[in-house]
Amino acid sequence: MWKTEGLKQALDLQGFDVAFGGARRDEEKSRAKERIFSFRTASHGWDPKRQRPELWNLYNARKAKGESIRVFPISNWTELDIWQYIARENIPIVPLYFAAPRPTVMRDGLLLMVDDDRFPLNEGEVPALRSVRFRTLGCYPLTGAVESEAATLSEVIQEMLLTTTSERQGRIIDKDGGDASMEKKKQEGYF
Amino acid sequence: MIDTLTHLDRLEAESIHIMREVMADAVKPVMLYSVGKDSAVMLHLARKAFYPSPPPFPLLHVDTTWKFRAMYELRDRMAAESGME
Amino acid sequence: MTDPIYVTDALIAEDIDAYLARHEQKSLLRFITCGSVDDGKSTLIGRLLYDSKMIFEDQLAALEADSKRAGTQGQEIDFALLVDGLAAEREQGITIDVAYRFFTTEKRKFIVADTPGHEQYTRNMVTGASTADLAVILIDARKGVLTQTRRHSFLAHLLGIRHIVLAVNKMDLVGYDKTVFDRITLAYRAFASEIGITNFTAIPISGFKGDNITAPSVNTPWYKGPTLIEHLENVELTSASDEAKPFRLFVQWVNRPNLDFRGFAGQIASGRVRPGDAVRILPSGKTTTIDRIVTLAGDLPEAVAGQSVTLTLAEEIDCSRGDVIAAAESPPEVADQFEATLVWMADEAMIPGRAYWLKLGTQTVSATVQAPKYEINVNTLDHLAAKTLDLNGIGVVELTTDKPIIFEAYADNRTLGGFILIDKLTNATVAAGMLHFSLRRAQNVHWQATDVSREARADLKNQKPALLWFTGLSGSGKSTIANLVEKKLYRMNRHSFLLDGDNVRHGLNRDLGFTEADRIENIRRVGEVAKLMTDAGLIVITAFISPFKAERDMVRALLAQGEFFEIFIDTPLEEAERRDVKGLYKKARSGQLKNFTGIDSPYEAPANPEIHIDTTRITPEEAADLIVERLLG
Repeated sequence: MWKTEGLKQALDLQGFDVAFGGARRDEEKSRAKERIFSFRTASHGWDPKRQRPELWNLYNARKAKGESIRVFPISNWTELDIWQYIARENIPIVPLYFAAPRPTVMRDGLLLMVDDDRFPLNEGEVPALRSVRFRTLGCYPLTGAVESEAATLSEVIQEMLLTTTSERQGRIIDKDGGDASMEKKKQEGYF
Repeated sequence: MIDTLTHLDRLEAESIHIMREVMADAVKPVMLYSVGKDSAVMLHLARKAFYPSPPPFPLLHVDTTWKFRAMYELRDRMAAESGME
Repeated sequence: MTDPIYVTDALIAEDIDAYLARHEQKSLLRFITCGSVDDGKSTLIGRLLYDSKMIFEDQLAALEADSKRAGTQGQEIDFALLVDGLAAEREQGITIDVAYRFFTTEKRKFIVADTPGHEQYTRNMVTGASTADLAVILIDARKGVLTQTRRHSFLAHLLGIRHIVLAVNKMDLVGYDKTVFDRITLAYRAFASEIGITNFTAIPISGFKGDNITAPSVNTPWYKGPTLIEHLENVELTSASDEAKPFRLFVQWVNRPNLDFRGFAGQIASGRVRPGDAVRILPSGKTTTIDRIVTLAGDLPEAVAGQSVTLTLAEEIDCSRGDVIAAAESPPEVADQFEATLVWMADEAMIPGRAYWLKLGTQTVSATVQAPKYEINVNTLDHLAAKTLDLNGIGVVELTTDKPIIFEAYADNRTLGGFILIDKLTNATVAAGMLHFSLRRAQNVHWQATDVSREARADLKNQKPALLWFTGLSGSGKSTIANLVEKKLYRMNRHSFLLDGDNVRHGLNRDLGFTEADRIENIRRVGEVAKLMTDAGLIVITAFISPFKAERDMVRALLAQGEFFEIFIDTPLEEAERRDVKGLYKKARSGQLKNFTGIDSPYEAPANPEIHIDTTRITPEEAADLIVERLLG
């Protein structure tokens, strides 16, 4: 996975000892038990037995040389909380979250956006203009779009509340094997 | 019964508390930034946590592969506004 | 979804902005569910998530497929499958785990701490309960009040949860019988009052069938109380009472963007604060007033318990991380000796006398814990004699911090009374604690200032005091070299004293044996004596195996900077055993001698000693010369 390897290298290269990440516990069943402070060995491994209990609002951030911590300050936010807060605080977000006519191709059940000429078209694929938006933004071109007319923040939240599929459905990265694969990625240092 | 703080107030306070607590022991912290909506919220919280100082850590855009062009534009704007690297 | 308690699709579709405006005002309740899978706990949580539409179609499709495959509930959906299972847990046997789940109704957002119910999971429940406003104690209606019910109730009460819900589950399996419900409620009331729970709400439910979860059940016409959700939506939050308490804020971080601004960032632990309020800074005790409450969106006229804020003060007063800004009229206490309840959370047992890091609020200090006054059996609530606490052990202890800390009783203030202990070597969080009261007020105990200072005593002897701390395996040559060093110092007119391990055990430490705890106490006493001797101006030499790094560090911390010399007499085990001057290794190998360092008790070699002597390369005489040179040179 590109995301995993690139992250490890970037962290090692500059010697960062603490990295804030935006993962949330509601994203996925196996994340419900993830700590807010997640300890990693020097090789970025995640050892479930070495994670520390978190009581009250007391966090133990002590670590040995070479160890690092991933900290997830928005662990307890849900997708709805995020959207409501963006609305309340007027936080700018990428226009890709809002519906607009965009050139797309349908591949393996996912709607992929043809952003520019870097996108490798398969034989026989012809981009079509569809009104689409993105619920999550992962690596291009791996994130799938959804067909939508929601062009404002309120409409996006409305669509989210009335929708019936989970947020991560549009990501190819999850397609290779359910629960256990998510945990495997965690151990590999994905999060 | 009226509760003084809303659920968003409490989540915000908790996230800010966590970010500030990290500063006590961290030697060289960094914020991973993907330009997604969760990152946008996290960056906004960091600005609130340390205001009027800029957040005391750089943003690391995990830039290993192609991203959409629109994401780069927002990232550059946010970094400039926050006074971060 | 027709239930009005939950997300109203019609309003969302018709007027999303009105819907959002209303939902922005929701409050937040954190609760914990206690019970085992057998009590239907996972089913209940799965039901709450499902009924509040936190389950999406793709997840539901997977759930239906899983339910059919598992076959536990016939053709019906097995809600438990929504929350059970974590591959790593199944495969690797994780033992610390609390899962957090989220759902929302029209009135509130809920964070559920879901913990396994077995006895060995005390630490998980304590973790989940530490942030909870309310506890749902699940009882299987067919089984009634069990040992685990008592355990869960005791722990919830211990952690200061004021709202207890007794959810009598599986009512469908006892024919919705009122007498069953009444009998269980009565039995629970008798037990609850014993441990100090005066108030609880009993609700007859079926998580599987959905009775009295979101809507009043037609199957229990005799029950007139609230449904589970109704109750969760309406109980008073802990934060409401926190706001009524005196103002306290732990300083987390000092914000200094430039010379003109000095802000103190922290989360308000209790009370409320306005500009102009008189405050006292602890531990210094200085008073001033609040100038501003600074936020990115502009200054606030007031802030309350739970908010993370940045305060500025009217005057320039010393204030840093770990200090408390408190209401001037009613500040918290400052002390360094306490009684507390401790919950042990590590696989390695507590070691009385060993120094751990204690973190309370934003204060981190070194603390030692005495052997427990008693341990509490969480099943019977009996008080038992105990020398230590093992994993999941709960005991009442006395502890001493190396400097005074700001605190309140846990019963009065969770934030100022709750703490964790951290192992200094592994950095693991090993215990959670709740302070009861201080055993003496630190401000009343002053160090007796003497007119002749330690500097004056040392000057008279024309030397700088020091402690030469020899450490190494039995038979490594510590005593031999230490003796040579003292002889050399004596010939140079230096005033010294040699504390020998064996000799001390004949007198001062006659009462101590060789268990890990006794060895630690042995070193602690020697350290204190050596410190007094350096105060007298002496060069103190000690020769003890002192196998544990934590204790050597404890002694190091007692002494002034630059006065502690850790001298590692490095002799490999094979060599020391070959020499076996006192014949001790032979005895240890044959099992006559227990807890012998290097054989059945570990030796933690110093990582960065001031002086490292490799006895396989230099003679004792050369070693002594080297040490004297380092000390005086």
